[in-house]
Amino acid sequence: MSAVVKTITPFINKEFLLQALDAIGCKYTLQGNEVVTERVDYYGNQKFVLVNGRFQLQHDSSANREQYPWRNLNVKEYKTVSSFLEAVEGKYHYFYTLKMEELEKQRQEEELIRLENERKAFVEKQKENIIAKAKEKGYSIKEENVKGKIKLVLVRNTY
Amino acid sequence: MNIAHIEESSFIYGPGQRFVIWVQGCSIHCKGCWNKEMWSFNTKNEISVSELIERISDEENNIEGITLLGGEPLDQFEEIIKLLNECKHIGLSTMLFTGYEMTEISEKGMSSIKNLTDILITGRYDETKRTLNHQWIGSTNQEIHYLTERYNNFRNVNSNYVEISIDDFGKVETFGFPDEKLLKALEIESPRYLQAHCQSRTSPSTEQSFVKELAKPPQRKIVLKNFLTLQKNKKRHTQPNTDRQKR
Repeated sequence: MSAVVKTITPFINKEFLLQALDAIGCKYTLQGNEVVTERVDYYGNQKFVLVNGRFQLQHDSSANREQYPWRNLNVKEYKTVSSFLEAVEGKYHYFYTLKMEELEKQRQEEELIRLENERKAFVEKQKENIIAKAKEKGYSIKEENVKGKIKLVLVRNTY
Repeated sequence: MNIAHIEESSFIYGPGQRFVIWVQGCSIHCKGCWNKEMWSFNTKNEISVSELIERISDEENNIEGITLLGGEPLDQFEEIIKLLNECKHIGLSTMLFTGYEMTEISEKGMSSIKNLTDILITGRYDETKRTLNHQWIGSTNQEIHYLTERYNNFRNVNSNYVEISIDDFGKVETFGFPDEKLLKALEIESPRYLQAHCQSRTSPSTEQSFVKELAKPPQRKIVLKNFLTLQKNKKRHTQPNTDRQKR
């Protein structure tokens, strides 16, 4: 079995996440570190919760069905969780890029470097975390860097 | 061509570093296939053969060859033939996974594929013969055919192979043959349960989704090392709604 498994971009920056939600027309309220959206599924409002440095959407696991019986009428365009997250992700990237360009234009090097370091630190943490867990499972790991993308090739001998 | 996913650089789908293309659409429908998202013939990413060739040519100096899988590559036979011809022409090695048996390939008049592939892997995915411990194949009934002399000295090493890709935003993609334990350890849900995205209330796992086009390409030169180059690369990636690949 050969898998192709994708995850969503980790939303590590609250500012860009909120801008993304605004851009796609999803209303929300802030409750501490939680971003409570207007999307109401079986368990209540879907919300982004800060877990391990990134905002994760909490939702009913069935809410990715096209015919999911939403409890509110505000869910119009993005009827599944995946389509909603795709939209948020697209805008998140857009606002990140925009911000970086603005900072560069304004020569605000300090903030620019801070944001970049935040992003890089997260990526590094992701990598280290994966390597550690793969080693625990008995894999040997070879790391490649292809056009800035980190490739980890995991091999576990089975003989 | 109808394309499900492209990985411009991969190390586990054949010898060396390869340009890997998952086609969209499969008429075979093996029982137990994890990758039913790639069964539909509805257009996912329509990319012409010439555009694919252009993209492959861009990577020509970095890759040893191309690998085609799916979906069922031979369900887009004419385009596949054109693509493989071009790849051969520029000196790349070619490898193709198909669910058809060798005899079926002949019966269906698709024997020309044998002249254009260095390595051909044939046979249905049989869930009763599932293996995670063989190089390239997903069930032990599948056969690896070396059709040219190019890989005479290549020896398969049967192990469990997984490839994890982390992009510049920390997004993780997992390829190959991960078992449930590894996916769980990495907080990635099993492909067959991909409906449950992110951290759901009924499943304590992590976020998952399929993503489309990422950020726009830069409008001008930006000083940040790596970041913008990667953005440019991302623009070219196809990122369909898929979860699992069967041959």
